[in-house]
Amino acid sequence: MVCPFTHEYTLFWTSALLYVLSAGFALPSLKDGSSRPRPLYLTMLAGGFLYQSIALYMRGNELQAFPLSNPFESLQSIVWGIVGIGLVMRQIYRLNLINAFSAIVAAALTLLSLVNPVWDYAVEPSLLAGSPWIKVHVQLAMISYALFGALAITSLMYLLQDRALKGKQFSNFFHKLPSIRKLEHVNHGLLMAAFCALTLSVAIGVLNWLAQPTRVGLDKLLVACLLWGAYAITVILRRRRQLFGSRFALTCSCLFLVALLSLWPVSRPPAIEPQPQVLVVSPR
Amino acid sequence: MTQPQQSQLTLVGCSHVTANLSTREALITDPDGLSRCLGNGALSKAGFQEWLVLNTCNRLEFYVVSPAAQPLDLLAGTLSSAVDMAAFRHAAYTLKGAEAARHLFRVCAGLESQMLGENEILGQVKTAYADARKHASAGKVLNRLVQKSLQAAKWARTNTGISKGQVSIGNIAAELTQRVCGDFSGISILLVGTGEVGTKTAQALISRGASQVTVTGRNVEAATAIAETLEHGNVTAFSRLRSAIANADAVISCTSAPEPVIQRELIAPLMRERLDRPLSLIDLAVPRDIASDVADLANVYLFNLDDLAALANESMQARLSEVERAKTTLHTRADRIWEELKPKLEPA
Repeated sequence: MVCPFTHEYTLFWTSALLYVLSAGFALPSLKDGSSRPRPLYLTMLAGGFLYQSIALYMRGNELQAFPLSNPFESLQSIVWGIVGIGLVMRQIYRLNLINAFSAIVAAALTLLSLVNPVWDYAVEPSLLAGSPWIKVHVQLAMISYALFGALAITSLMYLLQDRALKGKQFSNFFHKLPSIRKLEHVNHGLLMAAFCALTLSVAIGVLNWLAQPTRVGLDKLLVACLLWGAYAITVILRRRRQLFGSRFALTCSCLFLVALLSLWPVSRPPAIEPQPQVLVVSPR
Repeated sequence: MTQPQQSQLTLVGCSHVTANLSTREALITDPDGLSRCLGNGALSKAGFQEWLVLNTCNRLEFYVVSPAAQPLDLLAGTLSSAVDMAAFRHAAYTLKGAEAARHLFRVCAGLESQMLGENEILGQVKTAYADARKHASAGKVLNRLVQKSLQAAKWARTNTGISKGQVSIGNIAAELTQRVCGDFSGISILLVGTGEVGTKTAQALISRGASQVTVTGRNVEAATAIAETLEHGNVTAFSRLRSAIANADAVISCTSAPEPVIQRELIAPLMRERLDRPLSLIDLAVPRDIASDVADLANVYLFNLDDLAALANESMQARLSEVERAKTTLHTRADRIWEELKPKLEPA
């Protein structure tokens, strides 16, 4: 009998609860920009990340693959990536409040995935098996989505700071947000990193589709390419110095919403290959 | 046989509340003489068992432990060569016991400062305490009282809003610039005009780490003089305003021009060339130096004197709303300490 406390769903729910608690404790920071109770909400966030890591590991073991076989797993993995990236970026870039925002996004998305059990449909493990390149493709896709998620968060922070400065809003919260200049710099870096990961992932996916066109649906390929195309246009406009500031931040935020919606077609399981029929001919 | 007189904690002092600036400026007639009196134990010889002198630009206060019924008379007799005691007596207030303790707690927390909640007073009290310890004039009572008042002040600043926000124009401008440009160490400031407020604002940014300051103005001599007073300052011709703005991250404008000197037509093409570098504009002039439609440009953040004043008022209102809460707790703590210290007051 499986111990209920170590069942993966218990772990997923525990991590979601910890994210919710973290978001709750982070709200005072967001409300008045106070630096307390930072240790408390960070501990909750780290605890949620740990439980989610274990749950995803158990799920991955079961599938013998990175858990991205249905929208539930995709959302959980992306949230896990966003939280992990946020924890790292806070240290490297000294981005105040990014973990508070991560906690809120993590709480919202993990709860959303858990209250929709139909999203967690079962997939035969054998259907997920494939060449190692498929695994690389999947992992790169997850990394790119997580980076785009982090980019959406920092873009939101940029929009809040920009709007506050333009609107002459001076509460303590806006003072604690990172500066416009720093956020612009971070957003640019995240976009480039995420786009590189997505490009590699889509490239491997396209090559896989060319090799096995019946295994991967055309719609899945088209959606992935369209998403890549949208981000490519963003990168090009950025390099041509035509997209910057609040327009750039708004674009990144909106594109991530589109990316989340694209999870449904792209995380559908591959088609089952038709088995060759064997004709039995009775001897005369 | 006369009963030994009980010592008493007394505060005798004057501050910005009871004496205006010119009076305060003239109180200490011989600063060296005052230092000598304090250093050679004159107050101890006069009968003060413990003493601490808090001398700042806004107050001159003597915290003493003494059995004397009128410590002010003793002070007058001892310090008359260094302090204008007539002016001091005229402006002085005297508080005893718990009231003196409460006053010190409020002083340390910045509740008695001209700028409510300011932090400088904490350092000044620490300096006064260090001097008292050097002179061995802080005993059982003052040691404990000062230490506890410093702790209480720290509590008040952390747990109430009496120090939150900025209330001076220079600090507000610095904070706004920081929200736009981030770390000061890499940013370049352009000071347009030679107005005093602009210069002080530039100094506030320099004190936060800004390392490149360029001054420009129609009056070259005045601009040069200001550049020389500013750390890392240099001067550029007013005719080169466009290129100076192109290189700046923050522009502080304070000229006496009757019309705006910085128009949208000047800024818009510059911003197309610096898309990844936002521009902070602080307009401290009346009439305004920077046209208001400049604020509509992307990546440009314009703040005028009204904005800064509104922010200062907002911060001050927020601080004022916290005063009663801070006072209540500080007084409770002061009363508790006073009850502890009362038995330690020795008879003379």
